Amino acid sequence: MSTHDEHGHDHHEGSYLTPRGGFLSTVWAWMTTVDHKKLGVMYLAAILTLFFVGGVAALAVRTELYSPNREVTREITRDDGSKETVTEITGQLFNAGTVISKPVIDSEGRALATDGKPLEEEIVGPDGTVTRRTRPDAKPLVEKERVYTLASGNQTYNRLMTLHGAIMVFMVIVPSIPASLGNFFLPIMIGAKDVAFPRLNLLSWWIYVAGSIFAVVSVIAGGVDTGWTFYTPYSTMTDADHWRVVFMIAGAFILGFSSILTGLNFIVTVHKLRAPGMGWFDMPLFVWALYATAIIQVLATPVIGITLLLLIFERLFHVGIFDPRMGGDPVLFQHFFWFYSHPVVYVMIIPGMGIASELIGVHAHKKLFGYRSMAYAVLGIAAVSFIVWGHHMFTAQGELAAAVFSAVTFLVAIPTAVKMFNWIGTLYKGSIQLNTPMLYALSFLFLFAIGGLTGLPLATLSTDMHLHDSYFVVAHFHYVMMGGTIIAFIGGIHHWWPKMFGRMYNEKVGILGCLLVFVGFNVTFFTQFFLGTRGMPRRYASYVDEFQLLHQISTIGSYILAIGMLVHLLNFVYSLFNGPKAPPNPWGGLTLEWTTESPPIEHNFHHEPLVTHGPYDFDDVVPPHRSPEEFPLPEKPADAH
Amino acid sequence: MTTSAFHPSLLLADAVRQWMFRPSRGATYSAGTDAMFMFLFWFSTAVFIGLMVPMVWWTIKYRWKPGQRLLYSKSHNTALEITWTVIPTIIVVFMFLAGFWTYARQQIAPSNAVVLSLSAKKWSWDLSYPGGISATETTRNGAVDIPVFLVPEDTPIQLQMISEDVIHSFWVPDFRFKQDVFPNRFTTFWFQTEKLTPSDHDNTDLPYPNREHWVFCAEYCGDNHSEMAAIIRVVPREAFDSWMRAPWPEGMKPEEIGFRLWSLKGCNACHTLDGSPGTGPTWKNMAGYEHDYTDGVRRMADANHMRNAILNPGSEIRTGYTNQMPTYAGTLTNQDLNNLIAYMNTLSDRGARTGFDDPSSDNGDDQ
Repeated sequence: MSTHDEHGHDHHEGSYLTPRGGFLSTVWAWMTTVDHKKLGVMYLAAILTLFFVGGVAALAVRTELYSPNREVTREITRDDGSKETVTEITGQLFNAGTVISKPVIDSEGRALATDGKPLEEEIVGPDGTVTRRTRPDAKPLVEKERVYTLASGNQTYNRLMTLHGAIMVFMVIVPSIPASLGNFFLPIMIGAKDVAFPRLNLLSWWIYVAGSIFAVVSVIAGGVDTGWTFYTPYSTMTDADHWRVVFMIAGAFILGFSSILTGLNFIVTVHKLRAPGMGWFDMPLFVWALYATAIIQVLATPVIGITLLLLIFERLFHVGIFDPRMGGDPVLFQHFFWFYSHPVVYVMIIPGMGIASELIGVHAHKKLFGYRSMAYAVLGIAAVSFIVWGHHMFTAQGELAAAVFSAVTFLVAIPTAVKMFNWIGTLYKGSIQLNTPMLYALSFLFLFAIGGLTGLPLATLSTDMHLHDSYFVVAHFHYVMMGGTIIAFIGGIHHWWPKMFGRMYNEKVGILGCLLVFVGFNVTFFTQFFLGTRGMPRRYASYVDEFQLLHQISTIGSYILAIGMLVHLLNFVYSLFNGPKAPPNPWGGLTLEWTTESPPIEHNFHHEPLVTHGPYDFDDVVPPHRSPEEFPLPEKPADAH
Repeated sequence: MTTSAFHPSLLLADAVRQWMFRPSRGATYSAGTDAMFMFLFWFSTAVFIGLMVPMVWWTIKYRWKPGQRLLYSKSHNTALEITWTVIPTIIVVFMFLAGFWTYARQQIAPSNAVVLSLSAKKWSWDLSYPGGISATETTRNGAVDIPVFLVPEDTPIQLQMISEDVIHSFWVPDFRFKQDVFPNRFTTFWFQTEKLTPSDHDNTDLPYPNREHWVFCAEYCGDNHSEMAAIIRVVPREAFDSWMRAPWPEGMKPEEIGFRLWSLKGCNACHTLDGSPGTGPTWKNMAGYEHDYTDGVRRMADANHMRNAILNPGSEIRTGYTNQMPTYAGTLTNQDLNNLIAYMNTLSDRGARTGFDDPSSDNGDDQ
């Protein structure tokens, strides 16, 4: 695959960030680039922007939940001294209202028609009696009015909650690591110049943009209140006369294609473009993780595509598939939906596991304990992920199916436990630098351990019958999705930031941000486990009094979390413009991305790299661009192999 | 409560359980579910500590700065790796079996269980007892009124559940159990109420302390999903029987019953009483007035119109609204309909009069 020789040996080749030509031509060059690094950076910018939007929605949701809906009667004193009791609903901070149309009445109390005249006419009968009747062909004149009710306030909450879930799942977490860091580093880590199909990669990006536009338009048009899961028949019925629900579903449908194409690209890249000398078990674990993820994306995403298409057909053409009013079965939708959406949980978490392995290996300067079992565990999780979807439906399906799905769900715990043991085992006799990426790796282990262990009572049949669809589930999947994937993602951005942009960030500010995020996250979500066990259902705009204290603690935690994220944002922005220049290998890593410049040149490497050692052989190899004085090799016992 | 709770550590463990779950349990199988959860909780706590202590300890102990010699240790140990794969496997097999055992107790109702039918709709629950009786009492929850379902103590009860619109889920946290409710098939939910203590028997006043259990909807169902609640109240057998004989208090007027039905039957989810807007038209000044309908016809809201609107909601839709109301045919008896219409009439200054005027009051303001 060395057909790009016209640049391949150019030692003066600039970094991929070097602008060519004026502003507009640079923009055009980025928009049409097939360079995996530029695409990775554009994905990163888009994903972080949407993460910000989804995060603001999350803060709005938490703020709304600070106080429950209450009807309060109080006495007010008017200006003229008279007293009046008013009844009002408190606890609805965000109430967008709902539009109703009502007949227009003139000053004499008569309803008007569209032509401005009274709707009714009087007919004097032959005997002098007057009867009133609606004029033929007259249509009543109606005016739109926005009113604010209990239901409309709850609806605003439901839309914010859906907005948060849909954006975070479909547009942030699913593409987060593979599309941004994966696109950027997968080819470099295996010593390739680009992915196998660079143009397909560009297409994948623009499909992502198109899908996101559909979703954003749907939100601007008023938003969707289905929840990110689009459960039927609610999603078939709600907003039946409006197209925004269809737009949101279409957005998710389109985003799926981006996911499939990226996955396909990664599979071929890993199979065909590894540098000479790199066998399967010489690949960095991040590459293994992306490979397993790509397989799931390619196999599972078509199912959600078909499902969402059927849902659109049902809404638009009333084809009865899921809605019982038309002869469909609503549980069928749940089976289809989770057949995709459960494997996609592993699309979200496996890349996070891959990053955790990189961070721990590089910043502990230690060969990953049980490297092979780590690779097999990732493949094992990917395989099991396809047969456990029914555990989302213990309360919806028959007892036999529930028992089978419970049993296979427990299988997931085994490779996950093995990975946990290996990560922690790696720290033994490591050489650990406690910088921001390493702190994020440790946070990942802490939070993912809680996320994994709280999965046990959800896989257990009897306890899940209590905890299903409660805040316990909310806390559990935030510990996995955010405490796992997003924490690893942020750690990975810190880890690879110097490589991507050639600038260092302020380490102390990074550590401060990490601590704020860690504390804020735990205050927000650990509380929610107890809300769940005590009986708080999820997706509630309001709640009974006894839950209020825990909700308030959770809301305050979310503000701490948000401040931590803003600290990181400012740190990165400052670094982009004023950060010190990054050396090629700031952490002393051994994988191939640390052999090239920071930022990498346009074709990644000046010469095709030849791989002579494993990705974590810190015992035997001095890291590239670093001296043996900085990294004195260990003294090995005689029986070491 | 656990009889073996003598040892201080067991007392502490039970205090943790009570704090985590709220003390009250309600159904006979709840204790088994709690025990299952608490086993998982203490197991997970031990595993978590077992993971975090070495993590933190090694992170501190093996801090490193460039220039220090790296340390060596083996990066692979087949025996250890097999051990930590096999042991979790055995543990999760045990967890599955224990979970299945306790699940069976939740699922299998005894053959002598009393079957009651429960219907769900946006956004209310309705429980029907033998003889077409349904709940007659409401209580205030936040901004809405919710029904109170009476159940007798020490009785196995099986709910046969159906939804009239979307999927709902019937969750009683004190029972530690929930079951989804579908529009196209029955699902069941059984529980055996606990026996009331002698002091509960002596206490004939309502409400019975610690014998009230929240019911929540646990499957997202739209705007007022979070207000779709109810109360299950366990009462002594005698109290339950006397309520079944005469559900409504003696001498209650039709419009007073109608007002109760407004919240009991879920009318309150959409129809307001004071003229403020809602999902459906307000009942204030509805009866006796003419209104515009989406078919362009202006109709008088008389008793027959209201009856039709309740039984065939889609047939006549007021201008400015879309039909979101399920039919109440089969849900309301003719007596219920009369009571509701009587109540609607009292909310309107043009409403038809029902009953006889109280001769002692001066009703001289007839126009």
